[in-house]
Amino acid sequence: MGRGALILLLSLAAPLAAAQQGTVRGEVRITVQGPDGRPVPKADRSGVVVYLTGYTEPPPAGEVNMAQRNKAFQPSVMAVVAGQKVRFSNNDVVVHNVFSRSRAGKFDAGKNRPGEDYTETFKKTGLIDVYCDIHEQMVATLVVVPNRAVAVTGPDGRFVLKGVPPGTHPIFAVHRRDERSDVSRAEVTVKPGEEAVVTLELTETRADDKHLDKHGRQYTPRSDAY
Amino acid sequence: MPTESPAQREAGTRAGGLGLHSLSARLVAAFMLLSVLALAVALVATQRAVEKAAEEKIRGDLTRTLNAFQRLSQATQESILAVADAHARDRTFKNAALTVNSDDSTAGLDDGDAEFEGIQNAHDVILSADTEVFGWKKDPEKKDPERTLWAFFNVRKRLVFTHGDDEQVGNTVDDVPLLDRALHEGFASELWSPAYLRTLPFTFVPPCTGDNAKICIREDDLLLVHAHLATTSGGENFLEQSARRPIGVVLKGRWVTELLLENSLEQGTSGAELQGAGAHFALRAGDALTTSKGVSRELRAKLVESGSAATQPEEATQKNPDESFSLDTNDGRYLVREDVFWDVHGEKRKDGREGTAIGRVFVMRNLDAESEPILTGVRTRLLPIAVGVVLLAFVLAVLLARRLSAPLVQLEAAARQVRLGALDVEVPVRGTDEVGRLTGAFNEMVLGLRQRDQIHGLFKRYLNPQVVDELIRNPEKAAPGGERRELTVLFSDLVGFTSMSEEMSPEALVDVLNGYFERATEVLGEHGATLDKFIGDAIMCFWNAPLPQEDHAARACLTALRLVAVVDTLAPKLEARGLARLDCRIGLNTGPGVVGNIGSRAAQDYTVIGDTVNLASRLEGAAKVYGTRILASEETVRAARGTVLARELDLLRVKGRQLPVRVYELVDVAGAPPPAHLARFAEGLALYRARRFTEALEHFRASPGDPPSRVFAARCEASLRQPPPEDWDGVFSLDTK
Repeated sequence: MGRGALILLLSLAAPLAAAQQGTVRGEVRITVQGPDGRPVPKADRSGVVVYLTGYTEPPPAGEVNMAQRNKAFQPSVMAVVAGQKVRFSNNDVVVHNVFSRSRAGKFDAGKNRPGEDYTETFKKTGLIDVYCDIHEQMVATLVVVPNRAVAVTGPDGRFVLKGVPPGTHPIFAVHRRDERSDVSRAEVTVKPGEEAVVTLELTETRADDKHLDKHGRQYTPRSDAY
Repeated sequence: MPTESPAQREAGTRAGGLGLHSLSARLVAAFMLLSVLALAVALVATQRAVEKAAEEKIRGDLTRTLNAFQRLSQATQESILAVADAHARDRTFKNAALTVNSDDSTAGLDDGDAEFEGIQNAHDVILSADTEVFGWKKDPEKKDPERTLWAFFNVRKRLVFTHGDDEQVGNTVDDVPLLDRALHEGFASELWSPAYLRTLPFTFVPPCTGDNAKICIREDDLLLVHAHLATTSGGENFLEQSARRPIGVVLKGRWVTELLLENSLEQGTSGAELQGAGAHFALRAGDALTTSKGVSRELRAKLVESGSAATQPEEATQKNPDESFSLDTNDGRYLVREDVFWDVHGEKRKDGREGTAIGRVFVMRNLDAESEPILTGVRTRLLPIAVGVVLLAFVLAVLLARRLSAPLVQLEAAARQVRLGALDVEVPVRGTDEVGRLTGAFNEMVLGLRQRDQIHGLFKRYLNPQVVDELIRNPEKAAPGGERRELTVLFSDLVGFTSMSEEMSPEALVDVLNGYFERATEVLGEHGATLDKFIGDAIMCFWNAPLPQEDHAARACLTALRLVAVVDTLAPKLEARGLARLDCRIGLNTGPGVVGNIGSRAAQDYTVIGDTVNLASRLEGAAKVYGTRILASEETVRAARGTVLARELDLLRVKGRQLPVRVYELVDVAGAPPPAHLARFAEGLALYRARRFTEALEHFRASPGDPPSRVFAARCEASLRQPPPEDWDGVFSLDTK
């Protein structure tokens, strides 16, 4: 739903600068290690955040929502433009917590009962690992980017970045939904009104999934974790 | 020289013993020269051989040393790698290092400098930590931990830690290929020269300031730098290895001199493996060189030079690796082995060697310095032997020279004696060599001289000089000892000399006698007579000895005639002085006799003995009976072969002889007109023998002036008075001598 809103926002903003702005279209390819140890292409290429850096844009006016449902964050990967508000809503039946120790956006939402919200504004760009202090298995990533030229891929791995100012920009692909990949970096040159095509290669590695709780300690069995 | 007296010469010879003028001195000198020369050649040859052997051994040692060095180097580097790996796995290190990489930075989302904060943080942790993991070398004996050279970069090549300059922390360091290789390959090594260290875009090794002597830049050394990629530990499971994420690159630097060269030397001196006592090591990267202690600047320069042609390691590998080469320096000739210096690498290369060539390694030994002690040892051992040999040679030479020259000195002395007339010297002959033969020849010469003297002594009185010379030339012709040969012997006696001696003073007598003998000897010499002896007024001589004379009888006959003539010329002079008439009688006989040197060693004569001599003597006496002057035996007359005119006188049986001898009177030389009475005498003689004494008497009386005729006339008369017995054979027996 958040992704739909983003695309809506982008599609609304696009005509404003359509005359002098360009588009970046492309595809993300993910290589994984097959059962025999040889690299094979990954079928599901969803959840890769593709963005440009090098310039900043004001964030869209509205909030984006990350829900907690069935002891999981939904969606688990979300792109946020710096300055944008993110609402974490407990749509579950148990009490949750949302926190991050990441440098770009340290926060702690406290305990949210089912139905309660917590809204946080992310002003700094960066990768923000979001966890629940109660449920260790709950993991999400917010990618706070400097401008609106950002997209999250679907299963086909395709993406379109619209409203890109002309020029040469670094283009990144970050994939850390449930399995981390390295960061793929490339350069893309955008010409006014034209469409640039980019293919980004990612190699997926198994993640070091362990993380610490909000106090920087190992998770321990808790009375309220059910 | 001819004016020098023998004494002077002798003195000169003795003085020459010092000045090489004597044979023995020269021999000794030559011998010594030869022995010293031979020894010198032997010494030089030995030296060469020892040098060669030493070089071969050192060559072999170099190869082993080099191999051992390479093994050591590999082992050292592998241990460094292992330690680096272990350190990178260390939790403390990881905890400190985890903050150095920002995902934000990687993702291009770094707001401000997020990464720098992490780097600063890590830097502080590392600085405050006191653990080996961060390059603090703990030494329990020292209070201050010793710092090792290391640096740490995050994955984006930003400097996290270095000993150099804290201000540089956070700087991104590009243009260090080693970093890139380590990031890409996980591990890489390089040899960094001081010059390279200074051009680095960060301070890895601080310049020396005085209080950091242990970790500041060392000139003339090389830094072996290992770059090691540190990663997160991933999982314990091997399958999860791929989940490791890189944290950064740890650079560790070790000074080669300390790490390898000195280490090698220590092993070399203590252990059997390197056998590198005296070995020097050098490591070259590009134009930078580091060596173990004791390598001169000159040698360093030459090593750099030797490699400058092939600065590329791969290119240098093309050089024959088994070939050692030599470099000449002021402090001796160095034998050098060169090889590639490999780093260690996680993966094996195709050629089976691990690692890449990061430099050249040299092992060298000072050939001169090392072979010198061996040579000195050989020399100190050989020198006394050589001196001993020379001394022995000297003694031998002196002995040999003495032995050689002693006969010569003896010869010299003997020659002097000979010069003074001592012909009885004989030098003992030693050996059959030249000197021996010379001595023999000398002895023969002296013997020859002696013989010559003897011959002279024997014959000069009796023979004419030509014959004596002939005998001297052919001494075998005057063979000593007795020899039996056909001879003609002449006896001559002066008649009336005895009565004359009573009338004359002895001086006058000798005068007369000498006058006679003078001429007689002359005559004898003219006819080649060998004068045997003078016996008072008698002369005995013979022919056909010592030199053969075919016409000896004829010569004797002619001599007799001449002697008579001599007496005839002398006689009137003596008569004129009022003395008795001088006459002579001569007996001649030819026959076998023994001739030779007869007598004692002290007094010997060359003379003839035998019946022939006796008969000749008897005939001389018998001449008186017939009143003739010359009485010759039939043998002589026949052997004279008609050289003289002879008249047969009688058949005569002399005392002591059974067989009668037909005797002749020599009348004159052949061809002279025979006196008339000869024919009458012959007829008378024939009648006499035919016992017709009366008729014979008439014949004999017909020549009253002929003494033999008178003798026979008297005989005929006697026979007529008392006829001889029936068996009378006409032989007249002479009972007196």
